[in-house]
Amino acid sequence: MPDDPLRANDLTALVVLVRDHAHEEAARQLVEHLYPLVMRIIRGHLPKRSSEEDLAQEVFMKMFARIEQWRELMPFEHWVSRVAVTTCLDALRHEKRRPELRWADLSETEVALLDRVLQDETETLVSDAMASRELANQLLATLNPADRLVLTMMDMEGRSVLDVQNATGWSMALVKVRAFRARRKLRKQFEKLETTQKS
Amino acid sequence: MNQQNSKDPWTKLARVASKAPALSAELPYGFSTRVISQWKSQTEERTLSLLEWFTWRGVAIAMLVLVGCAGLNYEAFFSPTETLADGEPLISFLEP
Repeated sequence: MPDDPLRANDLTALVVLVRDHAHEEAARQLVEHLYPLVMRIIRGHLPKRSSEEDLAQEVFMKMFARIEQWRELMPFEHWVSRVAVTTCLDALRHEKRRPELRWADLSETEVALLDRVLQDETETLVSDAMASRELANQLLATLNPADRLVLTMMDMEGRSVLDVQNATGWSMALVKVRAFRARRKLRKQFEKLETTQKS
Repeated sequence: MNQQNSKDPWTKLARVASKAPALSAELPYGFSTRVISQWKSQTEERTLSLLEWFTWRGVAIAMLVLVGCAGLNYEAFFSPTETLADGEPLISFLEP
């Protein structure tokens, strides 16, 4: 362990300082160090009417409140990721309404984009990554929180089943089943959209 | 994701969406100060509530002691006391 963890930015030593001595400067450094990680998770799973900053604050408050539960066997970042994922999942569960996506609700860009996706024109899609993300988020919002979380992590963030398992504590089989069912639901959503477009 | 059907519209959409550039995750001004002060105030609240709990416990124990003492000295409090008969001199009452 370095002599001055505050200067060395040694994460484990910082956590120990916060946990055992409620050290303010160490806590500040922890927040600054972990903010990008927490924000990336929150942006991937943010409920529609929530502020990302409020949710980030909630994650850090939970992190400080439960810091004594952390064991050095697990990297602290992994533990914080799990806290962030469960906080987002709870926030998504509070959002009772699952909006149904209809063709009429889509913007012109989204209609064009969806048209191209349904017509299988993959090449033209690459320039529309931002719009695709917006559309994908709208589709994900129609799923229940657990399904949404699994697909966001696996399909949008390219994380493995093991990553999802580590972040949620679910079994590998459960993650796979959830991903399979969620993709099937989305396929049905696409079919529904296609039907409403034609009619 | 690799095992999925690449012609599946969701797979295609997700693949393109994942290429979107990540938004900046710069720490907002004063965010860490806000978090730290909230954390500190919650720690103080917890200490205060602990003190409150001990205070109430102290009051409960004191009440028990009071009731116990009253029980032990029941006779002294409630036994029929001898009264001064009419015309009896006080000195004979105090020194039987």
